[in-house]
Amino acid sequence: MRCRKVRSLLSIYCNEELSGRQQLSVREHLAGCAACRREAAIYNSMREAYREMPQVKLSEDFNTRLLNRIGQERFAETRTKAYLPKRAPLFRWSLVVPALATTALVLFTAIALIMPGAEQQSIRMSQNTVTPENLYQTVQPVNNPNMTANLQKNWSLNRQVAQAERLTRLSNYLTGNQGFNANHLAGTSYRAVSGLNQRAPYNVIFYRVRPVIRVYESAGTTSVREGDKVY
Amino acid sequence: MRKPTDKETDFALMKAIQNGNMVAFNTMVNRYKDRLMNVIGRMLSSQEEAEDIVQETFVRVYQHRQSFNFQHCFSTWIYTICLNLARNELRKRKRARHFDITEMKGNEAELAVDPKIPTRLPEVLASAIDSLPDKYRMAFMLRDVQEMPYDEVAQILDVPLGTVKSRVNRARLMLRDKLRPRMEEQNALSKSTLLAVNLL
Repeated sequence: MRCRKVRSLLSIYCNEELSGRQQLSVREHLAGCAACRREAAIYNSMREAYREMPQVKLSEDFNTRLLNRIGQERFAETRTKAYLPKRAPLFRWSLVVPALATTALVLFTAIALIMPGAEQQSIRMSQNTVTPENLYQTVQPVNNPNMTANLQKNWSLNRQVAQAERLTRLSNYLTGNQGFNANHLAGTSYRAVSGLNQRAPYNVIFYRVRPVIRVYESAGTTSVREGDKVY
Repeated sequence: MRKPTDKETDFALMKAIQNGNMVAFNTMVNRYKDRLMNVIGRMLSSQEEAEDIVQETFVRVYQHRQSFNFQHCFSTWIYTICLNLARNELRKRKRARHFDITEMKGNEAELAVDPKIPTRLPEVLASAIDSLPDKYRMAFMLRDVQEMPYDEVAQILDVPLGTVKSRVNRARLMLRDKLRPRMEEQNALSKSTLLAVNLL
């Protein structure tokens, strides 16, 4: 082995990190080369000097200060676990269930009021948005046999009811059944009630609301088609 | 009966610490504090800062004791925490360097006066180590001064094994170059002394 090669391996050799064969070769070379031995002596001195290097000392109260700090950490942990109240959960069933039940009840009541008799029909709406407005086509006063013609189909339910009421009152006035004044034309008081068999109290008009049945799926046995009116 | 290895002792202590045993924690502190201080003290060259880093390391160990993975060496874990904290400190210092008044021009003469010039070889070596670039110094300190295996050093520094070997070797060569004049001077001195003795 040549000097150049040996010197590149010297730092590893002196730290005893060379493999057996290379170590032997370097050792043989050093036995016969004074210049490389001097170089190796520098590394060996360095190794000895590591052990004698002045140690960086910690201050005497290091452990005390550290344990004080750890004590603070422990206190913080304990306080967090034991004393601080838990953060309120964002989702709580005990709040959500009554709210949902109330909403469902309100919706059910509203639908029952707006759609009398709707529960009798099986309506399958797949494309259009279901709103009370497009479920009814005509409104006809029950206790006024004279009014048989359909009202405006594109009117809202409320508007049809109001219009029917106004017409009924006008009709009553013309036929002399009841008194008439300007308020009767305003059409502000009306009620849609599902109980058709009840006797009409004074000044209350009942209407038969005719729903539109929209049939999108047919088994072939029914003769009802989309857009048919069912009474 | 077989004596437990350092690794086994560390694991036993760590399990006790996880169960809230403060005596075990104190034992662990005593096992590692000087080793950590020797590395960090040479990196930061300020006693107070180095102590703060070592203290912070043990606080982090305590805070994250439950997340310690027993698949790895405890020494690797604690050295990694410690060196990361030291690196952050060095980075902060580098950022603040522009505002350091002692580094402004005009102070050279004042600063050049160093009453303590190291004379003994270990002291000279220590100051030579201090002057090494950070990455070489870290690898050298862990490998040659702390005598850790190369693979553990690689894990701690999070660099490949080959990189660690080359950094350590490069650091040794740098130190040799720094120490060579002094060593040759010392050799020459000892030769002349010997010669004089021989002549007598």
